[in-house]
Amino acid sequence: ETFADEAEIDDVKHEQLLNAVFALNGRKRNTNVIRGLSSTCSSVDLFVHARGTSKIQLRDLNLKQSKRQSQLKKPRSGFETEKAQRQVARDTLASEMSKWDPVVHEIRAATQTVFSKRPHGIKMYEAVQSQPFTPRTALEKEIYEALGKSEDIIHPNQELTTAEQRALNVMSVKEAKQRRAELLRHHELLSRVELKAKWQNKIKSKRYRKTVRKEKVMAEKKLLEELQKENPEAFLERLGQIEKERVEERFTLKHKGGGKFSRMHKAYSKFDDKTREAFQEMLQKSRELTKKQQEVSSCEDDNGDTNTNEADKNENTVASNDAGENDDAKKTEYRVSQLEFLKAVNRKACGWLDVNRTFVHSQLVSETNKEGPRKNRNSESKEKAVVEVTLQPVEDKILDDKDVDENDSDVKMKVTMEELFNDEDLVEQFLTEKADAEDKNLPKHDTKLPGWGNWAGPDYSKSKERKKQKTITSHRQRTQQDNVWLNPNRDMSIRKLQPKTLPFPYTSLQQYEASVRQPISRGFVRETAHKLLTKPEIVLKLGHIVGPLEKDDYFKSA
Amino acid sequence: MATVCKKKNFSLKVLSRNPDNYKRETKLDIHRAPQNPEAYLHPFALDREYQRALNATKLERVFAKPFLCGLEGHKDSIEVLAKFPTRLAHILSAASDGEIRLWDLSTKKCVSSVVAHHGLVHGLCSHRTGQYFISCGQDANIKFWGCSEEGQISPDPLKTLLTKQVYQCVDHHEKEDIFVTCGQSLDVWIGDRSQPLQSYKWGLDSMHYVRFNRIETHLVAAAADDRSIMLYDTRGSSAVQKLIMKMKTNAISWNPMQAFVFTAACDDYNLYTYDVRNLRMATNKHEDHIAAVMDVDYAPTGKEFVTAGYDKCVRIFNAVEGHSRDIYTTKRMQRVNHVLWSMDNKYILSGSDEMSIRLWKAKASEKLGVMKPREKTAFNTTEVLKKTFKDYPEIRRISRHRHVPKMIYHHKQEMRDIKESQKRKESNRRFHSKPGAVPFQPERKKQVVEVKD
Repeated sequence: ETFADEAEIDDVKHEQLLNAVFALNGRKRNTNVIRGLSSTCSSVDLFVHARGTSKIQLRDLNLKQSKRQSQLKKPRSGFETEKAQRQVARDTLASEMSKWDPVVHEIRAATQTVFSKRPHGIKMYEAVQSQPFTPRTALEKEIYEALGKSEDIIHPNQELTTAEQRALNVMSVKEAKQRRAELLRHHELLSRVELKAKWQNKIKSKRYRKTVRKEKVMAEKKLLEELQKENPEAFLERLGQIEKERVEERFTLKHKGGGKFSRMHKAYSKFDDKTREAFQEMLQKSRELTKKQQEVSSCEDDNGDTNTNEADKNENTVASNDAGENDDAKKTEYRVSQLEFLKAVNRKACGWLDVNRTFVHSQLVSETNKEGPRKNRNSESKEKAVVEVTLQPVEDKILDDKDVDENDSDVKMKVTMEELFNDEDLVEQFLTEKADAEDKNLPKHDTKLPGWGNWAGPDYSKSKERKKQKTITSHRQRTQQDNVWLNPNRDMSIRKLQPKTLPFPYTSLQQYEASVRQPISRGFVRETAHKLLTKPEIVLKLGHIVGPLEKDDYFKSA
Repeated sequence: MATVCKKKNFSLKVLSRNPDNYKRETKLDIHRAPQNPEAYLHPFALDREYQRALNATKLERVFAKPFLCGLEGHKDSIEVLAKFPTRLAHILSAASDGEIRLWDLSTKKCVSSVVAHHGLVHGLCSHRTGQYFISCGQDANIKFWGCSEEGQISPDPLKTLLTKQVYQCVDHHEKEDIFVTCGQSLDVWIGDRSQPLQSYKWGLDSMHYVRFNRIETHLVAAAADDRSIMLYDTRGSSAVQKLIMKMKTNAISWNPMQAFVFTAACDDYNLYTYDVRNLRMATNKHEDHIAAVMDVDYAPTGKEFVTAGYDKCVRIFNAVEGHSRDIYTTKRMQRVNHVLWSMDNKYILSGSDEMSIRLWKAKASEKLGVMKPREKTAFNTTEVLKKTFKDYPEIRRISRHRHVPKMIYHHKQEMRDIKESQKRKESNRRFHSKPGAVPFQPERKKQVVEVKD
């Protein structure tokens, strides 16, 4: 009976079979609502009803009630739609924001951030080509007429002057090459000389300037001598010039007093040798200039003038030397008078001054006669003068006697170590000391009960301190040997300056110490390393606006 | 025999040296003698560097003079401060009497002023181009004012919008011609329209602070009167999320470098930094103020922010740390209502109740102006040294030391005692009750009441 007749199919059983088959799949069977006719109602009835005037009522149609009533869902209220929308918005937001994660991580972890974006409103222009110089203002035109037009000037971009170039163009190639090389070498030498002169002019050292001035004076002299011999006309001219310069300098009136130089130096010349010298020089110069050169006006002989000039100069130099020597003489006189005074004192003191010291007197006298540098003499005399003034006590003489009997004292001092430490039991003493010190560091039991004011009041802070003390553990390094005690306070002074706990990002002491021990400063580390280690965290440009991050810089716009 | 020679691509190894490393720096220096940096030749390197760090810290404190100038001129307490995104030298300020002034910071003078509104000016912000700015006041007007390059405000507003409600705050979009105002609802305005493009509202309470995100520019954060912070997405027609805290938020600032980070200044004396994706727990809690925090502003580098407190002080925090790195106070400065960090990362402006705006340096001991290259290298070295040794007690003590007014000092002690006692009590309760009855609650979650989705 595998194939049953259609008429014998049991609807209910068929249904059950279908359900079971579908259940094998794991899913429920899709049962749609079937609006069908019940067995009681026949289609004929429907027709009959429809033809009639009366309307078909719902209850006439015996509808099959399906098990699962899936109604159409109610449309959502405003509140619910909003909630749904919010959910969507939140999800999109989360996904959009999470794509910024790598960027933010990079920003947070970066050791250096450089903000270099161009600020608003800055435009880039191409470099302007330099145009040849054309004079515009009246002054420029004048100067150009006078100097710029000339053909013997080297313009900044050229190597040779226009005249030289023209000359080269005329010559043959070989000649031109040679000539060109010559000219370039010439220019180079000139420029070198120019630079050197420029630098030399900038030297401010006084000594150098003095030597230069002296050299100039010597050169002038030589020149004059030569001219005298060779070219009398030029010689006369030169003399005239010299006279003119002299007159001009005399006219300025700056070599006497009243000027800034003289005012400044007057005040300081008392204290400083150099300023005094400079002031003296200035005065000398003024005397030189204002000296009446009667011989010049009366004598028509040119030679006479030169002689007088030279004589003047010689006289001045001799005068200065004399002045120096006079000073020296004065100083020696002073010293001699000092010596005599001290001798008198010595006589009065009835020989209290030591014999040895008086020997120094004679030494000093001999030295003053020698020619030594002034400064040294001054200092020596000062020192010795101080020494001489002190009076020797009589006891020193006794010491002198003792120095003679040296050997005896040494013998007396010799004592054995045993004899010294005979009476003391050092080892025991040491042990007791050590024990005491160790006990001191241990936390003591506070027998004092907390009383009034312990949790508040005037003693509040003290009680806190006591708590702290209790928690401090003594760092004791025990040793095997009894005769050694390692001082636990050895590191106390430096422990105050060191951090007590490991700071946050470090997980081990070695790490932290390595990071601290790594030197950063220049002398301890190579230059490139120094630059890397001292990179600043934020690099900004002055005056530039730092704007927020641009989304387009990181993500392609859809 | 013919040999074929192949030409090979050969590589030449050359020594490449940077002349900066071995040449003397200026012609006035002596030539550099090459020094051997071996450690055994410098046995006291650590101690010497420590001493240098100590000296640098001390010098830092010596040169810590942050106050630059005060801008006087307003006749009533400062309500709002606004900065221009395209100009460094100009600053806008609005007072309680409706006056708006434009200040030039380079000359430290008021360039122009205009009486903008009848009554308080609630909000002020500049257009993204910097050509004009928007103000909203108690007279329920939104006014657009033009300002020239020299800083002259147009005597009459370019446009006036008459609105139905009084708006509390204005903020402009970073890129487009959109601005947002908040009051009873959050209204988004676009271009020239006289009616808001969109209006958002969640709950019955009004919002008093609104800010656009600087990077993801469609996102808006608003602080409302029901102690909540609400996030809105202007692309959609609904809000995103609502975070209800224990106390009201006074101000919000978005980090200009990190798209999903914002910091909220709360009435419970703290600031909380949140990640937008997870509002249930703050990523950081910044404590140090002893009264309500009135305003926050991030530095343009996104690494620090400045806060204004009701306790008459301005504090600067590192974005990642929980305590302030510096505090600026003056005897003459009263309740600080607003702070700004200038766009070149160097200056801070504070507007306070006693009608004056103060200009401060962001780094108190910084040298202003151009630094010569040697100065710069010396400065960089000392900075790194200070950082390396910052945990050493002497250096830490000196670098942390600030002279602070008595009131703040005592208040801080009080707060510390309160905190300590609360902690102690909680631990006692935990100790004396069933395990698990008193759970541990992270500090960063304590302020959150509810996150409404």
